Amino acid sequence: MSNMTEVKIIFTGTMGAGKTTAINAISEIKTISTEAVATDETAQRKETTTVGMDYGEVTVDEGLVLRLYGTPGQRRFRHMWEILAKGALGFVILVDNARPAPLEDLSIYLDNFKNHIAASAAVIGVTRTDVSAQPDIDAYYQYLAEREEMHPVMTVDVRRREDVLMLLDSLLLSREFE
Amino acid sequence: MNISDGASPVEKLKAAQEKQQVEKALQRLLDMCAGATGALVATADGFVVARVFKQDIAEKSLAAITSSVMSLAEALVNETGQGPCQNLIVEGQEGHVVSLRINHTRVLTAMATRNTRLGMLLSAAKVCAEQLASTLGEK
Amino acid sequence: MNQPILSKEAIALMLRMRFLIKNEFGELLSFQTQEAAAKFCEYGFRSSQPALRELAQLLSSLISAPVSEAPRPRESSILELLASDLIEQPVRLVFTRIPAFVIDKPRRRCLLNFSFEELLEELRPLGTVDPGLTRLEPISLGELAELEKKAISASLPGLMWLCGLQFSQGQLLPKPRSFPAFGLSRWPDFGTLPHAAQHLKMATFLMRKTASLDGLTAGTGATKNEAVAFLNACFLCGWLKRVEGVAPPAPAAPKSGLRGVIGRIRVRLGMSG
Repeated sequence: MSNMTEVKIIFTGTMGAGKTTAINAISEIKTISTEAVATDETAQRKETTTVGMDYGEVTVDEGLVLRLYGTPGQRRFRHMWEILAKGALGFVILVDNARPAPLEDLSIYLDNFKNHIAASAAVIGVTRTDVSAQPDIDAYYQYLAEREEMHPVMTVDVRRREDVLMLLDSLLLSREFE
Repeated sequence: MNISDGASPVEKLKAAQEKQQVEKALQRLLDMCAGATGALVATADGFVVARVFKQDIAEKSLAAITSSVMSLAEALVNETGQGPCQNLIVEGQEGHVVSLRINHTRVLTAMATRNTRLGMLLSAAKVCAEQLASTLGEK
Repeated sequence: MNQPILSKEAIALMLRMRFLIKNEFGELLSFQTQEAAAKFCEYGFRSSQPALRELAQLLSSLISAPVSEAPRPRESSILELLASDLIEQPVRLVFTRIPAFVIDKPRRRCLLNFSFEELLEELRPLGTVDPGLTRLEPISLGELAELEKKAISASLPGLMWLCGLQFSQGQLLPKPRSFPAFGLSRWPDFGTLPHAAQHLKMATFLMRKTASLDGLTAGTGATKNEAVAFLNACFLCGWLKRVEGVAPPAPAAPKSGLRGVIGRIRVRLGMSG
């Protein structure tokens, strides 16, 4: 009798940083998304925003499915964060470097998922560094050091499948060597 | 954060007008269904447009949760091939909650006590949503 | 007085030495002659400062060959140079096998007359053969300002990383060779640095544990050459940490359920390596 194992990875982070795109880049099934027309500042550059969750899947083998969940980005949806975070293998936090205060954005997700991350792992993907190069990766590591946390920080273009796989791999390896 | 933050004066005026119109419609809903305890209209992305409640509620989180569950219910109906979603009904021990989409960008949530007939609440909410759809148009 | 004029690079080395010696050695402030260079060497060899001894070594090899002869450039390893403090100030590197370029370490950049991709194209056919550094010329701030206007700026860590990976030839650089064990201070940014799956694995291993070279190869399945190249590259970029005392070998932990699951996912997504 096959015993199905399910592994859950959470994609979270700033609105518009590309969580839905990242899941799309690696999911084998058509991503289920819950997008709504944006009426807030997101509307400036993105017409829709995730309000429930995104869901994608990778079948690893007969007994193992990798489930990819995307959370809404804005703090008013934190009820979804808590629901989705339970039992996750790890967290991919995407930060939009072109927003006014990316490190403050990052702190929202590190704080909110603090206990979950402490029990699993996190990786930080910095997007849109082509639009804004600052803060640079050194600044991110310095910020993490001040918080006494250490997670991989990588520049990514989440439209590229290999970049998303790189984030996923650093998460998996962090768990493997914990 | 409010829907009218950073908006131009014209947009603010429009938002204030909409709030008035919606409040009137919500009040009619409460009048129509005796057991109804409150109703709220949220943007599809989770901001409060207007609300009328008999008791205090955390309106901001209710608006955000309304948009989340409405979107999840729509995903559920679509994935199972039962779509499109017409409404969402949740029966709690202490009362009922129904949610409906008014148009592309507005969602209505209404709630009533346990003793209220679910059909009453649902039809009052539907009437309210239809009225609002014609007043507000297809946003 | 009629001694041969010293080469430009010898003078540059002496200038650099004089900077390190400061005022202790006032009588050698005139340094245009072979004799002065010999004195610099003598002083440098006796010095307690490793940097001075290193410079004296370089200087002595420069002046031992008569400069009047047809130039027979001495090749020194680009890795050793990048690891040394000779590039603390902006310098132009001149090679036999690739075009010259400028390293501006204070601003973490290189200035090239061609694109970084072209530099990679130049380096690729060399394989593991060192590009053959022949000399380095200090650059004045004025010259640097001129260069900024026309040259292409590329990331210095990017160059350091590539050279470390490509030109290590299985040999740890002298400094990391003296480290009892290794750790990392941060992950290299694999979003911008070219890498293989193995590098991400080694980086994560050294971020989560500390290990000797043997421990690193045993823990990640990397070959010794791969591990050495990775350690050199991290050292050049300033991310390698010296760890005192070799960490006790990790007890052969039974593969937990989680590890097995992670292994299966990595194989499925083509990450195994």
